[in-house]
Amino acid sequence: MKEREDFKSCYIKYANKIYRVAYKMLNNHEDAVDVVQEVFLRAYKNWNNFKGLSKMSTYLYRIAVNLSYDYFRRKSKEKKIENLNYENLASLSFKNDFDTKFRNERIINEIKEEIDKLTEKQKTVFILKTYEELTYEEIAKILRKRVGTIKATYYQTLQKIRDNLKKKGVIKNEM
Amino acid sequence: MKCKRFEKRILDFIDGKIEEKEKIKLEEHISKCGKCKKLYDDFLFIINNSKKIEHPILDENFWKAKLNLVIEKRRYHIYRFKPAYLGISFFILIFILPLLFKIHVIPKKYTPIELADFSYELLFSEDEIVKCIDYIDENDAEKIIKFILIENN
Repeated sequence: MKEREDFKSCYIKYANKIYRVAYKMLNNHEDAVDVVQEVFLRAYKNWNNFKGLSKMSTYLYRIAVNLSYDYFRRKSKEKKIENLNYENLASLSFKNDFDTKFRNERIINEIKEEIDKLTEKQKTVFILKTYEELTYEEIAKILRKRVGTIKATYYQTLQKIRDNLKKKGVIKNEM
Repeated sequence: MKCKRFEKRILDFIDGKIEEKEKIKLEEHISKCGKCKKLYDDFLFIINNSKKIEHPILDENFWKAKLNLVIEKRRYHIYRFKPAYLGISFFILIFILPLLFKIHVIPKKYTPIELADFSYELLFSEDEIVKCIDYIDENDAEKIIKFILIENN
């Protein structure tokens, strides 16, 4: 019983965070929810083995990232990458207010487009760092890479987005 | 400070995870170097605008409903049929059951004298005795047949 209660509190605590990462990776609400469910199902199966081995969030993020890769690859193969279905999300509230959304619409859309073009590795690092605001050390643990590698990847990612935004005229070239 | 040094430290500078002494040096550098200032501004622009990308926010009730599904699914996983069970069943069928079967179907082995007596007393038919003979050595079988023939004559 205690195991189930611990699991429940863990689920409520982390479900939204895992969903956010999966959603940013996949750009699809249904797939992101599926990833969350699968992440926690796996975590529940290994609940007793897991305890004390590493930080819970690191473990959950790691499964979420790997599952998102799988989903993304599967979808890419099927060539059915869907965009966000606004109709299905009609009942959901959004982060930003109406005005900000339209004022920055173009810039945000361009950046979103550039993020979608990133490689899996770059995208993961960018999402975990920018949206989840994890430290480089935490990301390194999740992806099992060195801190230096993660920093370098993040820097390259920002440079890549910057270069592409310059080409599109979203960011001005240096004088 | 050189631009290379600034580029190396720019991410920590953005995060604010940098010592005060170094922070002052970096700030001094971008106040003089237009190229590095532009790099810093562009990175901040990308990071800040990325954070504005919309994503649905799901409330606790949504996740509570989903949580029950995970628990139900876990239960199903525990009791569902697993390929390992199939393997174990095959093992029992192929190795264990034949052993038990043999123990029960192999008839008792009679000594040649006993078989001869049965024949003499007409307790068993010849066919039944021949069946029993299949389970004993060839030499013994010959002896029995000879013995039975002599006795019957």
